[in-house]
Amino acid sequence: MTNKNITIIILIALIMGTLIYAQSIDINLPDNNQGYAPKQPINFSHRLHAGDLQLDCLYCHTGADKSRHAGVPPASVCMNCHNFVTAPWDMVQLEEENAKKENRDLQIPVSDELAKLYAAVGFNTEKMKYDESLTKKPIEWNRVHNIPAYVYFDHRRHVNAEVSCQQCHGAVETMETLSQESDLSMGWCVNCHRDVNSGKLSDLVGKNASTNCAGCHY
Amino acid sequence: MSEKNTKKYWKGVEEREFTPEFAQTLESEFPAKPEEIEDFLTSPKPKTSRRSFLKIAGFSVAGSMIASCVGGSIEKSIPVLIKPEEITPGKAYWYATTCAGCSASCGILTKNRDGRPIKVEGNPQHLLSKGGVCAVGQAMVLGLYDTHRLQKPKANGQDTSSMEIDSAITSKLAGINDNVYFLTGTLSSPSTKATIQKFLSKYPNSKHIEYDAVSYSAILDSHEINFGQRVLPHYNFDKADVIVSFDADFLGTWISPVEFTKAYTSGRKLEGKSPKINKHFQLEGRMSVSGANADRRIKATREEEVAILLAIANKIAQRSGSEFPSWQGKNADSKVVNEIVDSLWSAKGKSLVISGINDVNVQNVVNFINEKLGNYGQTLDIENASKQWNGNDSDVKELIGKMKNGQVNALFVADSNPAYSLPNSEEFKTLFSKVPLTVSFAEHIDETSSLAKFIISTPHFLESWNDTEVVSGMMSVTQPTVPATKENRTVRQTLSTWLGESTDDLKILQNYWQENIFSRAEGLSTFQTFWDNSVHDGFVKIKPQEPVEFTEFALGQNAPKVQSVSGDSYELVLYQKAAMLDGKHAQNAWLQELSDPVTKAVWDNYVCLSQKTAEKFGVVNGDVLKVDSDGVTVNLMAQIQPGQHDNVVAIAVGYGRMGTERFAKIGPKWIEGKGTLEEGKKVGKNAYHFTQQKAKNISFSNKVQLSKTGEHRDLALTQTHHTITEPEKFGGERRNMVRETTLASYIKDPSSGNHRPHMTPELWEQDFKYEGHHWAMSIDLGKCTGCSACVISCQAENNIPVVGKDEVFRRREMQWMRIDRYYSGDDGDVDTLHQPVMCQHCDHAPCEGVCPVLATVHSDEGLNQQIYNRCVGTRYCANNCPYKVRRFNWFDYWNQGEKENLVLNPDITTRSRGVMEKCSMCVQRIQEAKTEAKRLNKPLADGDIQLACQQSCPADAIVFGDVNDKESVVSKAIADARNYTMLEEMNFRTGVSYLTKVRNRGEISDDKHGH
Repeated sequence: MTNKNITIIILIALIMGTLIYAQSIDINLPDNNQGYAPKQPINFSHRLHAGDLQLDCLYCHTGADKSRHAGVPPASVCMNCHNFVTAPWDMVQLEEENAKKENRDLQIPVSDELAKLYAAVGFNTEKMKYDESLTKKPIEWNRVHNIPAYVYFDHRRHVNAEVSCQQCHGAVETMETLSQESDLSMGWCVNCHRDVNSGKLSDLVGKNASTNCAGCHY
Repeated sequence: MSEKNTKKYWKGVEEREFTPEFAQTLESEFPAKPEEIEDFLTSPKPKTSRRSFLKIAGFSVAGSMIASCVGGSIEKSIPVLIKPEEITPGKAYWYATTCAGCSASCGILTKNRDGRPIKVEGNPQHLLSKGGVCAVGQAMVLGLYDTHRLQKPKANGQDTSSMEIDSAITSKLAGINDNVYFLTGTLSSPSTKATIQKFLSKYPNSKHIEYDAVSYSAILDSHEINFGQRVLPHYNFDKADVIVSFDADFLGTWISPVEFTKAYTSGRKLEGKSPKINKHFQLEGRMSVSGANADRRIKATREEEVAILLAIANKIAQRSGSEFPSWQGKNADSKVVNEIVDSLWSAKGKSLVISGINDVNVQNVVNFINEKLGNYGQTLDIENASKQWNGNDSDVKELIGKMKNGQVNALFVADSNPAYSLPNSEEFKTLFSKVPLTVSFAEHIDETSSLAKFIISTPHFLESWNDTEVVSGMMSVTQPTVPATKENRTVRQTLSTWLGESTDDLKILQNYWQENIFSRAEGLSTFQTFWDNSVHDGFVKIKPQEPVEFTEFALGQNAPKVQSVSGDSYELVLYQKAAMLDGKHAQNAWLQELSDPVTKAVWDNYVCLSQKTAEKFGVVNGDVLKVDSDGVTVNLMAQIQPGQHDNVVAIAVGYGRMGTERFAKIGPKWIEGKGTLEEGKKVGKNAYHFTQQKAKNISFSNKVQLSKTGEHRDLALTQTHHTITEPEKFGGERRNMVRETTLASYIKDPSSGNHRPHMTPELWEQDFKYEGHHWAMSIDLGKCTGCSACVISCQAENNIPVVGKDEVFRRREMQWMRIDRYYSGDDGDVDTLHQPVMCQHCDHAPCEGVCPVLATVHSDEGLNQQIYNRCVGTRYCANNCPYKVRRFNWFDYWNQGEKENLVLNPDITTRSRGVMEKCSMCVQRIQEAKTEAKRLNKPLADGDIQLACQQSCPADAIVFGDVNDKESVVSKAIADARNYTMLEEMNFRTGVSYLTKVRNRGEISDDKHGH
């Protein structure tokens, strides 16, 4: 055996070894971001809103049943409630107690996280009013679910076919910080589509899920 | 077993003659090979050593591995703070507005995504254009994102602000008492016109002059002589059974081509047992789009045309018992004259004679014929006249006279470029700089605005409000689809500011409508409802203006005289190309790279001449000729044009525009790549220098001498690219891709001219059953005029890049659609056919079997799918495609961060280097329609899916739908006896089929069915 051949064999072994090792220690292959849970600019809790308060997903993600994108809700949607709700209940109670103790007027308590929201939309919490003189700045959320290039995923098709949000996004209502539940790989998509067509998914019997390439790639 | 037609079709002379160069192009799908690899693999002593080849190969592998391991960076999702109620991210919304590409003013809809327009489509409800848009209209959306558009006003070449420029101009105006002139293109906006009048009324001896670079002035002038009113008739081609056109390219560029094409093709429906379709005579010296579609095309110089016109007028006068002076031309072919007169006389009141010759005395005779045939009130409407073109050549002449005498104190120019397009543009330039106050309203720095002391930057029409009275009683509304920059203002808004009135453009417009237009509204409503409805629809029908008094028809006094050419002089005909028109949009790269419908050339203008004339001068395509008319010279390449008159040469106007220098470097930058232009050069040459200011009108023909210069510059012709002819070594058999017949033959046998091959029995009987949808398309060659609107529509919809001239030479143009143009017959009298060709979506596709990575596969709805992220770029599919419709990305054509990228359609990928692409049958539109139908829980109806090419086709030649639905329009088209598919004998089972062209001719077509 020549030197050259030995070099080649060692190289191949090294590459294979790296790949196997990568799999075993749970490092994802390129473009697979399963488990990705970035820190968000506002510490928003899906557990609180979707879980405890049982808000409907579509209340905030209004595009999900009528557009390709479910959409990150605009701050104006948050303000529907947070016009009035400025802090968690315990914080409000504490303020009431303190005010009573110190024998002063009740101050409006504002949580640190909501203060960020108010700063973004230009809301003056002292007067509980929008203040036009304040500069507004959109909130820069970090995108959690990012589909690979060349794929066109359409939320409205899935939502209207009664695929539940949790099917792909996992138990969002239990997540304090949102993380990517599924690996969003093509195999994962296609397996589900095949299961639907073969009737394996009991809640989606009779539906037709396309397995044409151009169903998603164009 | 093959069929043989006696008729031969050819795309260019080189194909007909089968020149060795042409045979060479058939050898391989891709003409240029990467030299290094080719050399390394085949040569015994390669230039590249084995060691360095492996080094490069190894580096690419390692590089791509490292690149693939880098994790993606954090991506932001930034929602709006307060969402407008009607906007949902990811959903398209549409605005109805009016195209301002030319002043024909077609109704359009713009598709907006994420706050910006990305596509122009026709407005099907619009009363004139009825859903059609031309290539220029389609390309307007690219112009919106043009980085060279002015963003700020300029004073003496320096950027300034609206406030400063206003005070500078008004202080100058304060010192001017009279003689203020406003020069614009045709202005069919009543509100702008009124504002200009109001502004000028402050200065005595002032005038608003309208001037069109390509003028229709003679038609208006002749009507002033004949009927006492200077009007442009509104032509109704749908009511015309016989159309005689003297050099008027009404299907290509003349007056309102989209509207005319719609009307013209509506008169060419083959319905019933003995269908009647209109008969179209075209007399011309060059080959125009209309000439290519004519039932009877007669080659003639302008002198011969006028002789024939006079002879017809004489005969019509005799038959109608009216007087006609003894005007006569030279050598009118009496056979032609009799044929036309008989046709016209048998269609009295249902015929139409038109002429594109801008000479009042010629138009005078045309009007006489129409009047005696009783066509006024039928096929020509002067009561509800067209306001699409209103230029007045004499006024411009008068203005220049005044400028010479120093009688012009201030000159305002808007939407017009006289320093480029006037016959005496050099003289105009000197005179213009002497006028004390010159202000130009412009979107770009152009020939005129660069000379003006002040430039007011105007917004693009897609970002401004406007109104247009296209035809008397038909108001079209323009609304902004995206907000304009604050410093860009319309003429109306600027003048109103100077007058100390409202500065809000919308308010000015609404006020005008409330005072002047609302009173003409039909039906009762409040102003707000009337306005809202008009903006929503994009147009509104109102009561026509007060009827004007027409006088009894009176023939003009002067006989038409046209220069005669003989011996060594040639008649030069100046024409507009369907893509470039008068040159206003020369900075639009889509339009520059659109193959001309007739010559199939891109990125240039040239001299069209006949084969015989070319032989006389010993020139071939691309040899530079010097064209000389009394000292005015231009050196341009020769383009041999079948069907051209031997004494006529033709040059397109609209080239040599300032600002086209920007295209020098367009296209991919690589070692062997050459620029589209030499640095500092312009695209083409200005041919307006050959126009002549005659007594009343500007003449667009001239007498010229030709001489050979000995230079040669290649013409970027796409005509023989993607040719389906077999190479000689495989038999060289010519299969006719286009089929045609005559009306007489069609009535005898609807399948005449359409010989279906005798199919051998199938080996594979159990073929795939398409159970859901089965998409198919049918294209009617009888309707397609070759106008090329679909090509640009496809380019806009599918994110197709511009590649530049050098890449076109290498047959690398990227457009998914091409329009093959075939000739038949000899050079003298050719018949021309246009055939749009895109991926044929074969059910038995040759490309699919050869892809080693399954990147191109068939869908269960009959679509041939191309999956970009699977494609590794072997190009086997393109080699195996018999229709030559696949396009390979040799480079990354898209550059990050360019403003022009805003035009990209977010519903479809931009393909990267090394990937094959082709027509997807707008699968994104199919998916969208299917998804919406499911969302709304209703069945998908026939016509819910409109493909990009189909939607804007002015001729309604393309239909698309589901063949499993037997009632669908496409199923009916496929069941038609005229239906055929290309290369049917190969059994590819294409999803795209064609309908035979039927020409309205009396003779039985001579092609025989041979075996």
